[in-house]
Amino acid sequence: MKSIYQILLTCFIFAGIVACENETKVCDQTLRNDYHTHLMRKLNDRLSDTVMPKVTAYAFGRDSIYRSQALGDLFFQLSPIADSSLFYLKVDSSFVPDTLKIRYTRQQHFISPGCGFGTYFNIDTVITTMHTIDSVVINNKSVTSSNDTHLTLYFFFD
Amino acid sequence: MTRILLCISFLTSILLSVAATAQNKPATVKTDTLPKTVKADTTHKALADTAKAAVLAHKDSSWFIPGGVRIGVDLSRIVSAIYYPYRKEVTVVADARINSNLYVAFEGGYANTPYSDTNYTYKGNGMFVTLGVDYNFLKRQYVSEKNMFYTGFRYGFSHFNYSVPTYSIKNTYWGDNLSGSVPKTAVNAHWVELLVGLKVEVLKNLFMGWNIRERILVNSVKTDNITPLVIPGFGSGSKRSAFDVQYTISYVIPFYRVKEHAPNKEEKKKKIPKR
Repeated sequence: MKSIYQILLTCFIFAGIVACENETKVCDQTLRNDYHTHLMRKLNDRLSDTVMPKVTAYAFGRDSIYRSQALGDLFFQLSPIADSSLFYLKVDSSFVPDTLKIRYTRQQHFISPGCGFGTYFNIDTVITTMHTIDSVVINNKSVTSSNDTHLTLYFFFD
Repeated sequence: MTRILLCISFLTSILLSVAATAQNKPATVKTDTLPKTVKADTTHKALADTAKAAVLAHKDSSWFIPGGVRIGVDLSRIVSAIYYPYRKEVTVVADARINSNLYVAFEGGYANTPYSDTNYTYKGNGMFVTLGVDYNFLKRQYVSEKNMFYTGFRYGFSHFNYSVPTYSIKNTYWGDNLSGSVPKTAVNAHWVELLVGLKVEVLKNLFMGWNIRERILVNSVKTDNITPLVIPGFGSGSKRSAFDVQYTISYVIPFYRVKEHAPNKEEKKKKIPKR
């Protein structure tokens, strides 16, 4: 009989530990939902992932996001208070820079008790200049996480 | 501070378990008045008559066991309110014996959920009720024993409302702080729960006990805007299932008795050894 009580007591202690979880203390989900842009290049009639040697990017009127960095993927933070964001993009120091205008709708979203609120974006249109960029493909319109690739930029030069 | 409180709650549960073991002492039989009722049963008189009558009398024999309504409160909510300042809850528990091992059980309460941090403020409140049955597995050592080792089932319902008066979304790159609010929303939640636990008579008609329980939410309470922080009586609003412990102190009002019949067992015939 005593052993039954000991087993039950162990269960109770274990249950007490499991039940003690304060969700408001921990932000267990990523808050980043940057606009993930992938770079691709046509080389010898073959499309392939590329790393641009000196990428510089920033939103107009804001600080630099990247400054002469070798990159194959770019992550742009979209403005949570406007319905569009305009970015400057130069993939190499010798190339002519392009501008990238992203239009979207916004939705405030409760992420978790620990993280609070965030903004989800739904991409409407992407408009670019074509100085260096050849074409763009919207891969995913819903921007809820930085893990997905949302946009691919194609560069056709040797 | 919270760790200390947790330790205190665990130590108290250890004391309770010891109290539960102590209840096995047969001393309580002496104070019990019920065996008198058994003596008063007229069917037992027939036992002295004939062997045939004795068999019939055994089938009909019955006696009264203590019944009553047990009302109490869940003490674990006090610890819970200290550990989770945003969960202020009062839970009243009650059960009533309907036969020797079966109890109809009721729980009800009120919860208030005030929460505030740098990202948002939250206000919620609501009531809840659960209704179900408990089945006692503990084999009684004397007729009037009221200790329980039980398992139970509950259906739970909660009506509550919540709102987010203010929230802000910070963006380090754009330097913008977006603020907003979520209006008051009323929600109903339904769930089922399974539990197992102990109730021990520590003083006459005064019980202490604990149980562990798993709750499973039947309907979804999430919306696109927000998930409620707490569902009163259930627990976390962001989960479909919740594990919880209860630690109760309760008192039985013994205003009725339950008639119990003797188990219908045929007496084994005595074997006469062959010579």
